[in-house]
This record gives sequence, structure tokens and C-alpha cells, in this order.
Amino acid sequence: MRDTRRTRLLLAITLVAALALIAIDYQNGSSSVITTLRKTVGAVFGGAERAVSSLTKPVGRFLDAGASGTGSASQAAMKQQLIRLRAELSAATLDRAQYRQLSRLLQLSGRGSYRVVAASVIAFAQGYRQTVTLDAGRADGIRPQQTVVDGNGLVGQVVSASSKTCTVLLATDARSVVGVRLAPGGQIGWVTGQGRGSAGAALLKLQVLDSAALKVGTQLVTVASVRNRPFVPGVPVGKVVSVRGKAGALTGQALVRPFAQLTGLDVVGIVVSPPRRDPRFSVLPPPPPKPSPSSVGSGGSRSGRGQTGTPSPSASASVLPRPGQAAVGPPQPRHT
Amino acid sequence: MTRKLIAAGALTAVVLVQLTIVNGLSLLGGGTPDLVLLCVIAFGMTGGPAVGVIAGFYAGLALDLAPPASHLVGQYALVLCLVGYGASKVRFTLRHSAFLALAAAAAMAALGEIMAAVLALMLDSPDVSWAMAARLLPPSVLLDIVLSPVTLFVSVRLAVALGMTLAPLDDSPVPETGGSAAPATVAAPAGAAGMGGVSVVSGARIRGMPRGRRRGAPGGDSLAAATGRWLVGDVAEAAPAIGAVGWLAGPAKSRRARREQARLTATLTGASPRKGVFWVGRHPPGLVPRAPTTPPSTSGLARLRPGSGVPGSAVAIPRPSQAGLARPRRAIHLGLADEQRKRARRANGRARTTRLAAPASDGGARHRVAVNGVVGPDLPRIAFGTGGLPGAGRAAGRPVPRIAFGTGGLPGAGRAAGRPAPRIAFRSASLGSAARATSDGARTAPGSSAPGLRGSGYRGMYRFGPDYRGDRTARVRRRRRQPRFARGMSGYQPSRSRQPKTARMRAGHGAFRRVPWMRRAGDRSAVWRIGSTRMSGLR
Repeated sequence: MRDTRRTRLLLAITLVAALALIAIDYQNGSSSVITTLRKTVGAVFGGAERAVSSLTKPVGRFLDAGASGTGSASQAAMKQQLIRLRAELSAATLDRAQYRQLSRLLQLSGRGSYRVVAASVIAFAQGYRQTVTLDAGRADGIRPQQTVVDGNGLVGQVVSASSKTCTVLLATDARSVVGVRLAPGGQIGWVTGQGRGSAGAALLKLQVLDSAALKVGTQLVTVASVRNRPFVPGVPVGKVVSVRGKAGALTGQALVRPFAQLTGLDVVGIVVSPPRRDPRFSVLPPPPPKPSPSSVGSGGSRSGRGQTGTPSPSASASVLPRPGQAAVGPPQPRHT
Repeated sequence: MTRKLIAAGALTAVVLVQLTIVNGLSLLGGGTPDLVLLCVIAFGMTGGPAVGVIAGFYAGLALDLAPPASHLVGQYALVLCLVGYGASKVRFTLRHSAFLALAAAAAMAALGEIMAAVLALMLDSPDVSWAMAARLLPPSVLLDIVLSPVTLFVSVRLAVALGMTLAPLDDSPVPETGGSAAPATVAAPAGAAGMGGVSVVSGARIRGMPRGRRRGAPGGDSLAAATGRWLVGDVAEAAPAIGAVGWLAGPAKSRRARREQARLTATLTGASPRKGVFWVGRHPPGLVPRAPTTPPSTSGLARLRPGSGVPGSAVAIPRPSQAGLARPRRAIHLGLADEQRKRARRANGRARTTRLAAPASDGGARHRVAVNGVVGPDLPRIAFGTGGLPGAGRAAGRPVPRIAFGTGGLPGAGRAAGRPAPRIAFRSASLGSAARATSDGARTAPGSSAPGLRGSGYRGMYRFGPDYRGDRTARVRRRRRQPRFARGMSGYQPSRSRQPKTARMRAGHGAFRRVPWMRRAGDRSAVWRIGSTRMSGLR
């Protein structure tokens, strides 16, 4: 069809509409137009995303499980007979993997005495934002400004919730600010994301008032927010990987690698009821093995953790004193 | 409606796939391909401006409002509707070469990414920095370019499957195939058609297409028009075609299919006499437009009243309201007819045999060569800019009056229907032939026709064109300066010499007439563009 005056009028109308929407949203993000639009379209597209991801997630999990687990199942001659068996096997491993994630989640929440709603990630944001959508919503008790964790640590906070889905702002987003406490000493600081596309996009930026306490390997937990919203206390956040101290700076700066796997999120939990008592540092990962003669063997015995890529305290951090951990954290069986 | 639903469903699916799967991938450099952007580009390139704008706005709004989004509502809508419009501006590349089309799509993708990044920088300035944008843009654009052939291919294929045309008339000098797709949008119908007529006709053109007509035909005209040039290729054997001709259609299995492909290729690649706004003699054998779509009975030739009935000249379908009207079945005979009548009498036997040899179910227009008595290659058959001649169809869509000498049998001469431009046809047939006998034949409104026909034969035409400005005296004066041999054609090429290349959007019409900068003064208007030598057309 030809470019006529009519199509140019159409273009002008759509441009004006888009600019008007931008202006309204920029002026007042919670205006009724925007919220109504977001709510209705979000309901429709949220349901569709749930449906699509319920279709596609098993495929991805199957591929993952097949890639990781089944080495012996590649018998070309008996392929047709083995297809069903392999499907069952991978389903089993899938279940096991999910169970492991969930159990670790529950373990963590049990240690911190959280009450956690499990959910899976169904959609990822477009553009520079780092937000994800979970398949749990207000019907499951999710409200905005609740803490989201996975089995290893802090993921982010809920920023909006519809009846079936909710949107989570990841800790690595540039807008995210999390108050933290350094593990051994209890110094207070805050952690901000660097945003997608920045140099260390997977790392968080830590700023602490007392820069003397910053050392590589220092672990962080969240500080309780006011009325535990958005962050409940005691969620492990990450570990300092490099200190960028400047002489004479007011705050000490460091880069923190988060414990949570923020790039490969699958099953997460939303803390719907915070612990009554601040668990302090008791939910941090267990102390690393001593650099003893049995280090090779212990490394082999911990392969279950290594598979899931948990950023456990590495050998370089093992020399750090961890009084809180030693005092409070009882060694718990990590393997299920 | 089906097409709209399918297109909307495809866009929704692409948005969902983008949000649930693609954005979660971690690819090279942290970039993610933007399937939605690519899909909007492909839609704009295949569907045209309106399709591109609407698809872009819809997809962008969906991206702005679908759950994980937390940026300002309207960002992607703004970017994507601009990109869809821009893609429709480069859609002519789709008919020329694959590389050109892919390069255009890649350029539009890069433009869209850059626009989105700039908008994000402007609106979320503390959170999004230049460094982030500069780091994310190259991998994203690279992934887009890698994926754009896929989306373009799928989109074109979908469009072809849905029977959409790429409307070769619109913005490309590629010759038209059979003159069937004359857009009625430029020919602003005055008077009788009115705005309703415009919207109906142009609305039909948006969806495009001849509904159902020839859809299943292997390589019908609409399919051929849908595929365009690069989809067909320049030569038949090296045709990297998507669509009716070429590798998607598969190699031609039968001789008939091969002939059909050769015909389409010749038609689409301009192997036809594309300069020929007319030809003399019989039509080239490969260029018979298929399915004349009109009964041979309606050879109302001299339809000289503008706006009366269907303005297609020779083989237009009579409107039912007029089918029963008893009118003087009288054609205007000009001087040529005596000689022709003589020849026709001579050739009468041949004509009759031809007619008898043709089966009745076969399209009549092909054999109306004989029907009108203008038999064989020995008699000239001249059609000036009648939309029916293949290659001459670029003249269609504009209210230039058509003159057809003896065009009763010219295939497709009336398919430029829906335009109020008057046709003047000099009927020169032998009147004893079957065309007159079949049904309501030549319908003539003698009163209105006479002044236009007297004199030089074209002076009266300007009365009906949209460009008529009333300065006919100046035109007449200048016309004398033209070389004598061009005198016959000079009525069709007035624009270059007479009027400057200024915009000729009429100030009295349209939505933007009060906005001075919307008139694009001094720019090339659509009217001029048609008349440029680039189009090598009539005007």
C-alpha cells in the first residue's frame, strides 16, 4: 500500500499517542491511565507468559538435564527403545534438580525461619532493565516490596504484583539499592547494581562507611528494612571480590559477587513472612574446609554444590576469621 | 480480517517469545536480539506504511506493558512505530535485490536499536549510561542483523501465503504485471466517489489484494505481484525467489509450469516491453494476463461520461444498476473505422474460426482479438496508458484519461476499475462481431463526450485530472513548442516541462491543509514522483 496522507496521519496519531503515554508516565508513574493499562495488559500478557513458559521450560530443563546428566544413554542402536527411558531419566534428574533447589531454599528459609513461596521465573525484561516475572502473584500472598531469594542468597525485591504474576527487580539492576551488613564486624553499607551492559554487570557495588573493614572475601547479609519491607534481615547477599578503596574517600567501595545466580534464575522464593528474630549471620554458607591434607577429597565430596554453581566461599577466603559464623552457624548437612 | 488476526497473533507470539525465552538467554557480549523489532521491520517492509505503523505501535505497547517491563510506557511504542514506518519507506528494496533488502532491514534494525538506546538514555538517564549503551549496542545490532533474514523471509512468506501483494505500483519503477493493482489512492476521486469511495477502495488495497481471486493459482498475478523482483530474480534459472517463482515454489515440474514461470519472470523482471506504454500489434505471447476476470460481454467502449458507471473502459463489469438500462448501443466511429471495417470484413472468416476454436470457458479477453474484428498482427492495436497493458500499468491509478483505440479486446483494459477518470475509447471494431451481440455493449453518453473529442482529442482531458489548475492557455501555448512527432504523446507528459517540481498536494483537501509544513513545499510530491523519468512512465 502506498504512503498516502492517510498513513502519515496514522503515523502522526501513533506518535502523539506514544509521546503522550511517555509524558504521562514520566510525570506521574502511578497515574490511573498507566496503572490501568499496566494492570489489564499485564494480566493478559502475564497469563500468556505463564502458558508459554509452562510449555518451553520443560524443554529447556530437559536439554539441561540431558547435557549434564546422561552420558551413557547415547546408544545409537537402541535409540528408539531408549527414548522413553531417557525421557523418564531426565525427568527424574529434572525433578531431582528442582528438588535440590527447593530443598536448599527450604533449608535456608528454615534456618532463617522465613516463610517462602516458591515460584519460577517466566519472563525477562527487555532493554536495560533487569527485572523478571515470576509465576506467583497476589493470589499466593505476594505483595510489592517483598524480598526474593533463591537457594543461595538475595535475588531482589518484588516491585509489582498482579493476581497471577509478580515482577521482581533484581539486585543487579541499576535502581536497586540494598542495605547490607558486613559479616564479621557488622559494619553497615549498601549495595547497588551496576545495570545491564556495564563493565561488571554481574557484580554489585558495595559502599561502606567504614572502609577499613573491607577485605576480599568479606560476606554480606541484608539489613532489615523498615517493617521488613522490602528486605528482610539476614539474607546472604554476596562476597567481596575486589576492594576499590581510594585514599581519603568518605566511603570504602568494593565489588561484590552475589551468591544468587542472577543470570540463570529458575526457582526462587518470595519471603512472605519475615523471621521474627533477626538471624544475623546464621544463614551464611558454612565455613570452607580448612586447607588441610584432605582438601582434595573434600573438594570431591562437595561436587554437588559445585554443580549448581554456588559461589561458595573459595579457598582464598578461607583464612578470614569468621567469628559470627563460628559461634552461631552449626554445621548442617548440606547434602540431601 | 483473517489477515489482521493472523498478523496480530504472530506479533503477540513474537512478543511472548522475546520476553520469555530470548531475553533470558545470555549471548555474546550480553546482547540480546530484538525479535520484535525485526518482526516490525519485516511487517513494514512487506505490508506497507499503515501495516508497519500499526504493527509497531501494537508490538511496542505490548513490550511496554507486558509484565516484566518497568520502563516508561510508550518508549518502545514510539520507537517501533517509527521503525515500522521507516521500514515501509525502504520496502522497494524488496523487489530489487535480496542484498539490498537485507541491508535495508539491517539498517532499520540498527536504527531501531539506536533509537531505543537514545530514548532510554534520555528518559532513564541516571540508570542508563552511555557506556552501557555503547557496550550493549554492537552485539545486539549484530544479532539483529544475523536474525533479520529469517524474520524477513518468514514475513514475506506469510504475506505471500495470505495473498498479500507488495503492490509493485507503489514506490518502485518495476513494471506492473497486468495492470491489476492500480491503487486508487492518488487518484483522488472527486464528486461521485466521494470519501466513502476512497476509503473503501484504499481500504481494499491495504489488505491488498484481490480476495480469493487467483489465490490458489500457481503463479497467478497477485502472487507474482506479491513476490516482487528480488524474490523472483532477474533470470528464471537463477531465480532466488520467494513465492510464486523460484526456489520456494520449487522447480517447475511440467512444461506448462515452466512456461508459466518464464512468463512471470519476464513480466516481473521487466523483460516485457516496459517502456511500452503502448504497443502495436498483438500482445507478446508471454504476457497475456491471466484470468481476464471480466466477461467479454461488457465491451462498452466509449464511456465518455466521467463518473458514470464503472469507469473501466472496455471490459469493465457493468454495475447491476446499469446492466438493465436500455441505452443506445452506439459507439462513436471515427475515421479509422472505415479502414478497419474493411479489414475486418476481410478477416472475418479468420476471426470466426478463432472464436470457434476458443472454448467458451476460456477467458474471453484473450480471444477478443478476433471478436472485435481487429484480427491478427496486421492491424494496429494501440492503447495509450490503459491500465491493462502489462508494463503500462504505471499509468493506472492516476486520473489521466485513457484513450484506447480499438481496445475492446485489449486484455485487462478495464481492470483499473474504481477510478473516476474518464475513458475515451475510439471504437473501431467491426460491429458485426460477437462482442456487440452478447450483451450490453458499447455504452455511450454522447452529449458529454463530444466536446472532448472534437479538436485535437486531448484538450478536453485536462478537465478531469487532479492537476488541472485552470491554466490551460499556458499549456496550449507551450505545447506548441514540442516537437511534432511527440505531439501525440505530449498530452501525457506535461509535468516536467510545464510545472516546476513543487509539491502539488492540493491545498483544498486533506487533513493537513492548514498546516503549512505538512505540505512539503518544494519537495517532490507523489504526483511528481510518478511522473519522473525514473518511473519511465507516462507522467
